[in-house]
Amino acid sequence: MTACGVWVKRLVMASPEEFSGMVETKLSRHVRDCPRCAAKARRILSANEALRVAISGPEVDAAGLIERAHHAGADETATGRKRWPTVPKLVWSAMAAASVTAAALIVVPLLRTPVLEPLSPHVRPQPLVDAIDYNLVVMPTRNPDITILWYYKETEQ
Amino acid sequence: MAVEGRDPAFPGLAALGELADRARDGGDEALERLVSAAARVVRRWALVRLAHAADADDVMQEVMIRVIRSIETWPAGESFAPWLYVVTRNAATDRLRRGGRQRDVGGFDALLDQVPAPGGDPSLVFAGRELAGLVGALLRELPPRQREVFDLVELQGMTAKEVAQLIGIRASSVRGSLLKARRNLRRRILATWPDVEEDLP
Repeated sequence: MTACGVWVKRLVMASPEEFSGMVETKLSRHVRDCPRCAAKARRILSANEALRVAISGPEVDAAGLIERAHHAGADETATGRKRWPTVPKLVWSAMAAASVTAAALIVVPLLRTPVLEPLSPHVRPQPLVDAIDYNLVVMPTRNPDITILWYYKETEQ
Repeated sequence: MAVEGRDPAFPGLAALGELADRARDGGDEALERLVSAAARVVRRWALVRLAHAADADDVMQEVMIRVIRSIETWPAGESFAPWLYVVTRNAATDRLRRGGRQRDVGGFDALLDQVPAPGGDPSLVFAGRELAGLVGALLRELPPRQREVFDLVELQGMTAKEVAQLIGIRASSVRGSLLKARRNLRRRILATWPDVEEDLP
């Protein structure tokens, strides 16, 4: 490694302020005193400046962009309308009425259905099971197919 | 030679937020000022990420149209710059995923026309363009995160903390990426850009 090797290592990693002379550091003092390192520092700073200018880019036409954005919005609205073809009000009314009728045809029979359907004649009643040590209360209901059987122990009273 | 500090061509992040607030509150002039400032920032972010001038222009237009159309509903108190950054980054990522334009057209080289002549000397114009081409090619070889951090800190003059808030990573990660970017870029610059003074005994 040359005498400047250590300084070049620092030059490669340092913030530009540290070797540009903006602040007084050991590195900036060395760069001031060493023509080789000064040349390297100049190259690094020149490269930064060239990049800064190149990347900055030109001014932007703000008014043109705003106009384009408004046009894009208008085009999108127009495209959105095309996706949903316009339907005459009369057709909408007829479709709505038909929907209500269809719903009524489905819902009303459901509402009329009793909660407990009578037992089908094909279903045979299960035989009663003896419940030893239990008392029994038989409670008939209005539905002749339904009878409530309440088993209870003496101690529950 | 101009060195460091804030890049005067670019507003700070807080200034962008103030412009966004004014544009939201109404007024064509306020909106135009916001677009004028934000578009250059967005273009630069996209360019550094994509390393392609024409793609960066496309992304800038896409993002700015979105900004213009949503600024009226922009919630007060929200941080504008980080939102703008995320929108730009996502748009740039989409563009990369779609393949972008032909990579050999409109890359960093397209920027060279923008490098001005210092003092109007034609020989310096050539030197400036040649240099920008060389450094641009070297920059393109860095990973996107290193390019991004290098631009934000080294060229635009933001602090590591500001960059961390902007791009949503830790300040220590910003500093780490910056050191790697400096080392990679400067080593190559010093190796590939011969200097007459270097040959002095």
